[in-house]
Amino acid sequence: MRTVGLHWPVIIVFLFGAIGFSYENPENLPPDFLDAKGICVVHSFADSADLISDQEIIELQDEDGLPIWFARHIFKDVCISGKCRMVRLWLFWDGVGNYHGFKLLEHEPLTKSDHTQFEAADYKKLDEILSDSLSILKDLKQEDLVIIPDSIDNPYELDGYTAATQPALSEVVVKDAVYTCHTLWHTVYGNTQEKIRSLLTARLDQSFLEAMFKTGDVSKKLWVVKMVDQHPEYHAHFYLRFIECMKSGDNLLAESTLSYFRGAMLDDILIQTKLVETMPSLSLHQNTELIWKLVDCDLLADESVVRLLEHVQAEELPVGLLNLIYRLIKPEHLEDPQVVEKLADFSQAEDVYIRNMTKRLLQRTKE
Amino acid sequence: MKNVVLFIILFITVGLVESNAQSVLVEAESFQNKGGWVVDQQFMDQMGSPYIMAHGMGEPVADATTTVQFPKDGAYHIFVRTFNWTAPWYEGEGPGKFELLLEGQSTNITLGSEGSEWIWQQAGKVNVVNKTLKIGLRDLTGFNGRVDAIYFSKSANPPTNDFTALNEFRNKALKIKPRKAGKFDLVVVGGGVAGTAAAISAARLGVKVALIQDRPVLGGNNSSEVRVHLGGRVKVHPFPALGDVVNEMGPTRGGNAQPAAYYEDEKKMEMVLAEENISLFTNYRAYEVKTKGAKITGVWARNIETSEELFFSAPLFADCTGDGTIGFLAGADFAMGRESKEQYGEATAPEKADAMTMGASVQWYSVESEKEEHFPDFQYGVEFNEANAEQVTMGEWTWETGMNFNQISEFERIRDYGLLVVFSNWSFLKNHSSKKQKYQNRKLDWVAYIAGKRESRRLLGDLVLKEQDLTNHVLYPDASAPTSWTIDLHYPDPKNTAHFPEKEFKSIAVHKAIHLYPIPYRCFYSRNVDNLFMAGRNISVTHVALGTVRVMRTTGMMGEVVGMAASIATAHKTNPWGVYQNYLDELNGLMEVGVGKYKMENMQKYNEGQTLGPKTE
Repeated sequence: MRTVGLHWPVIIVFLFGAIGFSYENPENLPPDFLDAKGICVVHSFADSADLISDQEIIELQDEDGLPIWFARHIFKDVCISGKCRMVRLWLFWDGVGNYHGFKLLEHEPLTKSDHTQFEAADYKKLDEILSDSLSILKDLKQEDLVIIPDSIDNPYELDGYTAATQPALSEVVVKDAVYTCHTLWHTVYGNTQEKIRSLLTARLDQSFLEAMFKTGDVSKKLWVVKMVDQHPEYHAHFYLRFIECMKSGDNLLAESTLSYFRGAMLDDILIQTKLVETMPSLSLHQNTELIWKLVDCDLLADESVVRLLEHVQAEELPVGLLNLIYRLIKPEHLEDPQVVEKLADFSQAEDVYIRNMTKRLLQRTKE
Repeated sequence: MKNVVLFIILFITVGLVESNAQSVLVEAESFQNKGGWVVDQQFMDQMGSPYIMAHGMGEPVADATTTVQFPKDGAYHIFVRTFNWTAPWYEGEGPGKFELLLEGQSTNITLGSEGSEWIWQQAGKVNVVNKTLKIGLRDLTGFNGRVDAIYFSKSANPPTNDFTALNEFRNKALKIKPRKAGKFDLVVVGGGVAGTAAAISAARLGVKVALIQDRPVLGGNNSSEVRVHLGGRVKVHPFPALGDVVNEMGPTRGGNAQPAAYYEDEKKMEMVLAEENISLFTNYRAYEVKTKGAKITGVWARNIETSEELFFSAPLFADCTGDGTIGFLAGADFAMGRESKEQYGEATAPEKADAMTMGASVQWYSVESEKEEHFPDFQYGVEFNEANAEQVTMGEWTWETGMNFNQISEFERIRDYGLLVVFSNWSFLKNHSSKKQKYQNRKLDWVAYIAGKRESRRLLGDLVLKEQDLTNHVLYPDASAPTSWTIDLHYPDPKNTAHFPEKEFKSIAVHKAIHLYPIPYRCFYSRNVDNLFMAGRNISVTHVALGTVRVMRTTGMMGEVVGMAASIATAHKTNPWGVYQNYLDELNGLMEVGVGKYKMENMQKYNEGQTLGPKTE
């Protein structure tokens, strides 16, 4: 944090656009986030790996003190030889540290290896590359990016102009700007992002998690799921809400909350019951995954077994899952009259597949 | 359950033995208690019999035991048919060591470690009293010792090893007399995904079907015995009702080389057993056909444990064996290996035809244990070191061998090489690697002994599907089951070749994307055996075209189409060609409706593969 007499972040209330980041606004950048209003908090950040860029991270907070985005002014070399033109721009991360966009400064366009300027399509491509947290660039070093000509012995003499981009990379980077793409990708997913995440985790407590979750923002909800996963002390407070999120129309949120429930957690009868109750509202894919998870439980509650069988009877779960449901049934379940009654119904089913499988289950569990 | 016969073998007398005054033959696969030994029928067409094998992944398996009745008391010479399975790569004693037990006592003669091919190894003598002897097999290593049969003889001479003569000897000695299995409308041979789907499809349309499968489970490469997940798309253009059966019977979870439960064997079995028109014969391997003119009139099948033989007769047969065994036995035209570029004008074909095929995978995985796990030193001719070892904890489809060997006649060697490299590599990682600490608590949990084969014979139909049909999207009037996978051809991995020239065990895949392509129905029946359908990897395609059609959701849809065509052929008393010639509209009608029994959305959203989607004009 930058200290101005006190050991507190510098806080400035401002309208972001008013302080004038936006000199050039290439097309295709996220359109709205710079219009956000809020409180600007400046965090000092001693980045030993990048001393030229600003040594601070700016955070825009909403009126409740929740992060809207983080930004850092970047000014750095893009190739190890120092022969490439330096880049100067603002990089933005969203309120939980995911890449959010970039902003150029006036008269500071990005340029290619031949020093021509980026065009609109190049900026769009760059934004796509930076959005991909699993980019092929992740595991590559600078010396892997180009084919070094025989005439050059020392990679420190190399710039993007004297060497050709590796053919395998040419499709996935901005043409003639492989160093820029590589450098910016590693800047986005490097120390700054780590610092942002540490800023967030420093605030971690139930009320902060609660406030983040209540924003309704999917990224923030995903972050809360991740944090609660890492901090089981908050589980009891959030798990019912996570079960609700499994019904979300947002696939990532639905999948992440489903993934949250696993292992020993599923031995909790209350959780089992809630999950099984939720099944009619979930997709077939989710229900299949959920049943596979329950298969790994020590023992499913009788009530959950009954409910699962009812879901099949009501055609809320397809017959194709019945064999997996039967894997959940142990001899102990046959001591429950409701389970016995349901299975008796199934053993008289008109459908031969259901009837046979149920009879074999009953035979097996009696042995 | 009307007409449904599940032949689960409970041969509870004394094991299958031949006895006359002078000798007794005991087939090892008929042991009453097999302990930890597994029955392997994969090579019985080549060596004459199934056998049992101590597949312990380095830990000796439990004893197999049985009781043998003798016609006479007295002294008998003992011979055990076995061999050293590592002989192709290693000159010394092999690892598959075991001993024979007589009345619980070891004979102290090590068996299974010598001989470069199946031989009768002398195992001492025994004095039989009370005409009964309890015998056993004690595995010493857990490294795939194997036993075909045990022969007790008053004579000091073992039986022959000549294939034909030995078969005659067995048949005579065991007094095998085939009995009739019954009459059917359709006999489906092979209970992989294609055969199972064919049987279900036909049965649901009223056809009386016999389904013959040479393993105790259904699903073939998708069973828990091989563990390859389904691939490709179902329920797509132009016949979105095709694939209903695959969807109903297939596993809901994807993944190669995963725990057995993933493959939902019980679902496939129950789906078949629910069909009253199917008579299921598990553990039966078809080995001979009866023909009349250009027609098959019957198929003989032998039980892989009891050697009991059944004869199946029907007007229609479907070869879903993968190896095209039934077609081959009936004299069907077939191809094997790669066609030359000139033969079909395929861009991807080699200049000169050759015998190369895609290989077979021996998949495996290890698990982390809570304690240190020992694995024996295993070095039998293929050396692993820091530079060439595979630093992995599992191996899936890429552990593929035998591309330059014959996938039928040399398949035991191919499978065995797959086992050899898994064990050798693992031994290096556990015992010699500089990173052995990492593997200290890991233990081999599963190594396939049923190899996952991709390619062998392709039976030729009225149309041979070729690369240009797929890439140029040439549509035929008999368009049927859509293939959606890329043209996915496998080759030895060049990195693996660098370390193991001509002994590769890793592969790479080369893909060529295509649009969804409906395979012509004429690829699904033989051009010269009048009443033979095909479904699965042995359909009428070139080597290149096999690259796309071979994945199992696609082969399952082929099965559905064959089942539909069989119902039409049965109703109109015609043959597969007659369906094409006269009833194509009827077949199209069935393909549009499908044979799904349950209204289920797609339950298999995994490994659907890359596709260019439907072709738009």
